[in-house]
Amino acid sequence: MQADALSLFELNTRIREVIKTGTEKTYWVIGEISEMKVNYSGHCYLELIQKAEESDQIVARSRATIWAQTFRLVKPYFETTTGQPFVDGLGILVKVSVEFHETYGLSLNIHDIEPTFTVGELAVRKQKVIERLTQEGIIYMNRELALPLLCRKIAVISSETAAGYGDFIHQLEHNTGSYKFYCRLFPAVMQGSEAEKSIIDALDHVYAFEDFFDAVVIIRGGGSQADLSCFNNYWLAYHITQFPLPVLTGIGHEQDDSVTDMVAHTRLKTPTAVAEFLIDTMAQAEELLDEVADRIVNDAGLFLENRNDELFMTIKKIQLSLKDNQHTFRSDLVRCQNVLTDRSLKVIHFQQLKLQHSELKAEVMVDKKITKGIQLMETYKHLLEREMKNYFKRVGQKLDAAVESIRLLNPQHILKRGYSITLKDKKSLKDLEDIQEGDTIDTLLYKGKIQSTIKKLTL
Amino acid sequence: MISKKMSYSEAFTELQSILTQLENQELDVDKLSDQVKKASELIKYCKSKLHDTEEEIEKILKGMDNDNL
Repeated sequence: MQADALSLFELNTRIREVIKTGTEKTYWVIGEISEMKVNYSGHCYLELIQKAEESDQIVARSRATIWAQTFRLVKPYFETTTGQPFVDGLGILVKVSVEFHETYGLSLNIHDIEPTFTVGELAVRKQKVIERLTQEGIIYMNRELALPLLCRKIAVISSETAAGYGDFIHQLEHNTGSYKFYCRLFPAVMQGSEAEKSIIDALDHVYAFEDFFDAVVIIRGGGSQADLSCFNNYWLAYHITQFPLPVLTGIGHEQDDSVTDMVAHTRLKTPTAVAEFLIDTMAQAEELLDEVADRIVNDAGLFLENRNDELFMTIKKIQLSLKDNQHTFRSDLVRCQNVLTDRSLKVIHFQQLKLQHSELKAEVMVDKKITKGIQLMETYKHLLEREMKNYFKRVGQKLDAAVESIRLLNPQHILKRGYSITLKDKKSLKDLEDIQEGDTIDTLLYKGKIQSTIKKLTL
Repeated sequence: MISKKMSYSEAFTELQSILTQLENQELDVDKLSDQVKKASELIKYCKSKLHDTEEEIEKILKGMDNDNL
């Protein structure tokens, strides 16, 4: 037995041979980076592990190496694709060959990395945290806290040396509204694997002064690529959701919101933005205060005016009621007017109709009258003719009688019967007065004429 | 007058209640003067909270420094 004993080197050589022949040239392997070191010549030494899904217990572990030549190419590619530094705790998909060295033992030589796997893996991890917080019903608990009217006593969780912290303080101290803020720094590591615990510790510390502070601010400066996966961790998120003060974040993620941002009361991009938000909150409070003050001044004035006005209220009421009545009268009047107009129009129309009717009637009547007239005229004409005939006949008879009378009255007739006419200067003599003695007179007889001279006049 | 312990929101709430009383004409004319005076004090108080440094707060902050953070 002992004669068969191998030297360690022989054994390791055999193992190397077995491994070399018993494994494929390369494998794609999924693992998690556990410990990682880069030495001065740029070689990367790390440990790959695999955890059990439920218990987080390590079920496999292996050393691995990325030689400088490869690491120089793979690292930037990985970091630009994932937006994430190549650090501990990341799940990776790597192309490896299994190496065994007599002195150094078993190791995996990493030839290539597939960064999209890590992207997906991180997203899944983040999603799981979000789902867990949602299921537990606590994801938006911090948001439900009311931001105090005045947010001026601020607990700041940040790294003291971070540029972001300096900007934040500067911004608050030099605000244009000259609002007074009271800031207190609770230092914490803001990136990498230590960050989660460090920030939670800081939160615990702030918790001791819960009554004093108005809000908590978690900020870190942006800039170079940093491991911010800590802000997607469950326990940090959990502590924020349970925190009794509103938590404001300004973590400066370049990509999606982290879980920390999601659970925060108010999520802002940068520390400066957080400062602006706080200043704005104060400005709003002052605006509100000014408005209330203005209104009190106004309303106090109004109040007095109103008391004054009450004195004249009755008069106003009477005036108003008068106005109302006037209005009623007016509307009545208008209504009457309308009715009248309407009626008048109707009457006029009726009258027009009547007129038309009358005209028609008149026409017919006139026609009738004319006809009647013509008939009458005919009658009169006959009558006239007859009357005229009678008249002329009567006139003729009268004329005949007159002619007879005249014939009978002719002095010849009388003379014939023995009477005579005495004339003086050819005028019949009726009175002695008209003559004197010596005058010559003519006496007319039926037959002949006597001229005599008056000798004597006797009365 | 106004207690120093009164918080900003307490002071502001009181201001609003004075305003509401004024708006609803619930105030007595005789009380108006008192209330306006009080409002003016409250406004001053609120303004100082917004802008002025409070020594008491500074003291508390300094007290925290003495703790080992």
